[in-house]
Amino acid sequence: MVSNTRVLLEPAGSPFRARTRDVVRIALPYLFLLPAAVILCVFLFLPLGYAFVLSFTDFNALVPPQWLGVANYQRLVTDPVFWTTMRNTVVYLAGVVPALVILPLLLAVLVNRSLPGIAFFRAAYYLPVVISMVVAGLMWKWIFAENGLLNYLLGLVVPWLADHPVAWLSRPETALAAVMVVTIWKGLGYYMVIYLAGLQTIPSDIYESAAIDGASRWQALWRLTVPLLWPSITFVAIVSSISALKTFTEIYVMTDGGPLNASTTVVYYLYQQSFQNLNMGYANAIGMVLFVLILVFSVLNVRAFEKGQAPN
Amino acid sequence: MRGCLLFLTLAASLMLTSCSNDSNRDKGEVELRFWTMQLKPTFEPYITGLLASWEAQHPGVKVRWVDLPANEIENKTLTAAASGRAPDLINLNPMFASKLASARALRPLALTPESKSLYFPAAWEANTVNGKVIGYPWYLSTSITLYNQDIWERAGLTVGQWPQNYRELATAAKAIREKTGLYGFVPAFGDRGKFLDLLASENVPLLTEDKKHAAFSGPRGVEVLTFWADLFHSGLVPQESLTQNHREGIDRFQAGQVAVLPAGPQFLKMVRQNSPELYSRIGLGPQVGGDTGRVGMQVMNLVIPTASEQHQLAEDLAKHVTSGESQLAFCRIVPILPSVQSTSRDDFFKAPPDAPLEARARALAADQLQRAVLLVPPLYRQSELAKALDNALQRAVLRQQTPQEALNQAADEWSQILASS
Repeated sequence: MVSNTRVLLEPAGSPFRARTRDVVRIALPYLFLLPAAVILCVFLFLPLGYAFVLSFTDFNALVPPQWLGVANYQRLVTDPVFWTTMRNTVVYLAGVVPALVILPLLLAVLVNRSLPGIAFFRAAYYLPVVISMVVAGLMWKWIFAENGLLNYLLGLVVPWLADHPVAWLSRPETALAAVMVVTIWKGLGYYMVIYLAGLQTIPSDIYESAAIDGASRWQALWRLTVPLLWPSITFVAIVSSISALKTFTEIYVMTDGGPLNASTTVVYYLYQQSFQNLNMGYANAIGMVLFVLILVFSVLNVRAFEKGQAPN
Repeated sequence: MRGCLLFLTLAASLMLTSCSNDSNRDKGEVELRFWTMQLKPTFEPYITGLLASWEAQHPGVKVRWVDLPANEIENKTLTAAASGRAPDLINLNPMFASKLASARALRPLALTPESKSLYFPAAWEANTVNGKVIGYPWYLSTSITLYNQDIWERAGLTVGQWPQNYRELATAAKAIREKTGLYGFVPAFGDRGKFLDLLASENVPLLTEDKKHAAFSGPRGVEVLTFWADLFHSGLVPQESLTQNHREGIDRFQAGQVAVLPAGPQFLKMVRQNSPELYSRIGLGPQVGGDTGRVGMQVMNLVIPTASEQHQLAEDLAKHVTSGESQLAFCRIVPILPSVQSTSRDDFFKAPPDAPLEARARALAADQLQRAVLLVPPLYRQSELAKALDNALQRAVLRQQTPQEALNQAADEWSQILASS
């Protein structure tokens, strides 16, 4: 292909040919980029721009939008439900992201051994990833039910709880935490595999040298594994932050955002405003805030990644 | 060469696929698009037969029937309407239909007095938004009450002496809890608009005369909310009923964990399939409601989007589908009720005391239908109004506010929502 192109572009001497050759040389890389650029424009940048414009309108998807200026953003500032959902989102991030960065790492270290039957355990830990979130949500709903498995087990430990079961999904104090448990359970296997791939690129002789030098397993984990896995850790932190900010299905299936918006995140509020209340303009304003939030998190994570890599 | 052939094949397939939708138009046929809610595959023979008989009366018109799951039809309708490709006739519930009508996405109907008198007045009421009729009433349902007679007897209660209102139901629930350790019923506070229905069933006024403000925060509204909050705190209903919906109440009833289930007669088939032992021990009672004895009805309708180019044909199809004859045939295969008044008095809706359970349930529901009312008429931005009241209920039940404070806050929220109308 390359040789063919060279033959075609071989200079023939005339200035016109030379100019054409220059144009083709400059344009060729852009032509290769064109399909991806068109797809990105149609499915990402244009909708993003349109959503930004709609965020300044009163729009219900059925009649043409009416220009409102910054009224939707003013409403955001004074909307107590929006701030509740922001707080819930931050709590959700603070609970889910550290768990999804640390627990899969420990799990990956655990299954990164050549033991008989280890493939079974790797598959078993990965299994929740391939289960549909709707199915997982329904299953956990039964586990968290008043007469569910969790209350039964707790009742065995604390007999008082057998007579006073906790309605985990119906109490404002526990509903969001219950949803977080499902997100963590479902994500463990996915991030474990990412860590496992990273771990298997670390040569074993490094650990052998460390052992000869007298390093304990804990020291080996902290001083060797974590620094060498830093790119994977950063990737997991970024991806899990973004997916935590976009969490929807588990809330939809398990709590519907309730009770009293205790488990409504920003994305779920956006859904309620757009598809339940038909306030598409306001929902787009919420979407813009979410966009900025995800952008900030991604930038912060990338900065942390660069900082973490510097000593290496 | 092989790549080139593959490309050509794919391109040709794409062209054929994209052209297939227009094939009827090319043949000179008019295509009418009809969307229904959750009727396939169980009622497919009935619907296809119904459409075939209509097509036979309208040569050159072909009905393209699409059936959608109940939880998807709203989003699909919305996106179709927004993209200007709405179907010609849609089966919707009144709450969502009123939402579309508020956005002028539905075509108001011009009805003759004869066609108006054909259907139940309450069914028309469910299809009237801002004084304009926006749909034809299709099938109806009134909820009856199913009792687990085993639990009822174990609680020392008399079978056949069923509660008439929520206060009597609460008294029965107390006996059931004390004697059996089980719950009497699940209030299903998680259903959107549940508290709106509870207020309406007690005949608490919802709006002021000018329809600009809420009117439910008076002593009667407070009394109703206090009743439900106290019931919740007395432990006579499951704690998780605060967020649980009717579906979860059905599950508990089928599992023999609650004694009472308010449900339409159509749910009996589900109980028969899932829990045959319980089915043989079910007692039937009338709808349990507020002290006023008001019986509510649920309405399914057929609406015509503004974007429909075939609205005359669509209206004609709606009349055919909702005609007394068509509805009676439909009622023979599923325990629903017709919206046509004369049809509801057909002998099919009568049953002697020794008739099979489902026939008695149908007769009980049909009997209730004659005095049933529309508890909550379509309201402007109803889902937001309903949510405000559901939140008020939750705040009072969770003791975050007194019932009066909770209703006052909901009333303020209603005023703000209604102010934007």
